[in-house]
Amino acid sequence: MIYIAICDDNTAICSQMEHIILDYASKNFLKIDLSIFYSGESLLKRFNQEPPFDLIFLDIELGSMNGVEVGRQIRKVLKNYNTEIVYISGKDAYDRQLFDIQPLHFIPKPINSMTVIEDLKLALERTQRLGGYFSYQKGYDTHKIPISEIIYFESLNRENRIVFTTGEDFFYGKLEDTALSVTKYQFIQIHRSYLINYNHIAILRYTEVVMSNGSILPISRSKRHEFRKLQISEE
Amino acid sequence: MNMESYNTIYCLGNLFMAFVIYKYMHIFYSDCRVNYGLERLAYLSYFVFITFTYIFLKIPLANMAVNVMVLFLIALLYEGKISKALLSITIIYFSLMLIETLVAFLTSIVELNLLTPFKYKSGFGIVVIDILSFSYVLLVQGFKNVKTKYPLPHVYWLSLITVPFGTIIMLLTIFTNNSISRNIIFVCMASAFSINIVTFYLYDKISDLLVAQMNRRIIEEQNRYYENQVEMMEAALKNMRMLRHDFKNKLSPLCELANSGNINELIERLSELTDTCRITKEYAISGNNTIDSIVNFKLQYADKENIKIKVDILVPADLSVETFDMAVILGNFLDNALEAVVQTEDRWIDIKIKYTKGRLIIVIRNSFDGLVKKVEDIYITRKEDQKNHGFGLKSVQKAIQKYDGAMQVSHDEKRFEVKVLLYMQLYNWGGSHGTLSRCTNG
Repeated sequence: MIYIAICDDNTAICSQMEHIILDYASKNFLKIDLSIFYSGESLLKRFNQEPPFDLIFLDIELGSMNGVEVGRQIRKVLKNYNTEIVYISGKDAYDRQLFDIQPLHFIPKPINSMTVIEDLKLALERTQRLGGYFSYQKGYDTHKIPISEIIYFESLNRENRIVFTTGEDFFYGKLEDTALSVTKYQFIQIHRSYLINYNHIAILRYTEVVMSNGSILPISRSKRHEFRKLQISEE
Repeated sequence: MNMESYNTIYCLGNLFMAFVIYKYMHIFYSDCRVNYGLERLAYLSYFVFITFTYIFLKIPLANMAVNVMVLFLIALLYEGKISKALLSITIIYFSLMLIETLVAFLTSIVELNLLTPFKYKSGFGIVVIDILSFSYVLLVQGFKNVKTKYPLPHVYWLSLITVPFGTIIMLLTIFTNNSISRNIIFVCMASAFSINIVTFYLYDKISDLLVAQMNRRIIEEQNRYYENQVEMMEAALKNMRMLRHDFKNKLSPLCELANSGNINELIERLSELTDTCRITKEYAISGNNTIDSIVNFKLQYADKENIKIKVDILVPADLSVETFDMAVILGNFLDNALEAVVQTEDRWIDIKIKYTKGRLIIVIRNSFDGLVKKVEDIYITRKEDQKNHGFGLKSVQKAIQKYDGAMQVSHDEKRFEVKVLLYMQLYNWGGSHGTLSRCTNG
């Protein structure tokens, strides 16, 4: 099941979007759970419940709380980097605060159904890539953490530090072994001590990365060139 | 010393001299490609010629003439103008000759007469000459700028070549005049030698200046081109704004025409208006003025050329990209794409520009006829004027480097793709995170 939300104070747009998505879902045998919200506040309230949304179509010019603020709350306050956000915009220009929220895309009004479907496909692809768990042994206990919540691993002598959205933990092991177990989930070793989740990168520079939690991690000299090459082919 | 052993040393000395000249020549020509085997053969034949003329003729002037001639032929082997060859061998020959004479002068009392056979014979002298010549070549090896392929202007060339010739004539005059004292001859020779080294140094500096001047001129020309482009784009944009501003004024008479039922004139006015709108068709409407105006400017004739354009730009309106750099990067790649698509039936260009995670990523895809020219993994233009168009890619690379960025070019039979990545973080990330933790190790 894929959880999708549409948040727009314009009911006509909501029903148009709903129509496009459900039509695509029925033609492609997709199981989609679609929720509609007419305000940012009601959307944020729903975030307290499980399961989380995979994709939100969010209007920028919402009533009392605008789309930028809603997006900021989702990312910075709820620390949710898994839900893909696609902005619906009536304007031609986008403020740079919007780009901090790392939206998947922008859909201009009037809405073109092809654009919506393309964004939907892209989001589906990404959620499928991210669904999974990382487990590690600590004493006799096995711990399980959703891949999408892991920000990075750090190697400290014989221990590994795992940093995730809600905290951190330590476990024994080699970083190389950890890297092997998460290869299919877009993890990249940028340094002999750091293995990072590509989807949790907030800012990329040539020499370092800023992660979604604000940590700045160095890219070792020998990996910079290769990492930049990877970025070009990824985008 | 008997004659036989002297001749052996002389031959060996000549062989070593050929090597010294090879080294010396490479100060002037090391960047030039030349057939390796042919080069060796040339120096070997130089050795043979010199030795034979010595053995059979034993006349200094003949020796000199043969020496200079063969050297000149060797210099012609390398890439470069004849004037450069002349200048190089003049410097080479006369500086080596000066060393030789200096040593000869110091080791014995010279009785030099150019038309009578040699009288001076000293095996020790030859060894000293060889060692000194080699050290001298090693000393001047630091002069790297003389390697340039740019031709020297005639005035410089003439002044440079006059100096060694002049000093040599002076020295010969001094030598043939027997009344001058030994000390004065020595001083004259030493100063002649230093004059020649200084000339060589000047030659090096002048070449350096010329290359720098040439590069500066190229860059200036490029800058002028791009500034011109930016100006044209701005003008076009201004024009468009004015048009929009005019819109209201233009609409009201139309209303009146419609009211009065003057349909014919109304249609005429309307078609005029649609024409102006068509010219200023906007593909990029991201709100980022710099990028929009470059893209729209470059694509203004795409419609006429029947090119299908798809533009998707997701860039903050207030991301202040450098207009100049954008004009270089986007302008060049759009030019290339436009040029390539007109060679095909199915004409399309797909432009994607997005700003994500502190990077500006530009992807330009276009249809093309599948023919590319590649030299060592670098795509080469198919345009007539290859020399000038090479600059385009160079300035693109320079602009990309400025942002620590990179580009990737790929293609299949029908599709050409250029991707550019630029790191462009222009503001503090996420205002809510006042303190960013920094990991220091590594």
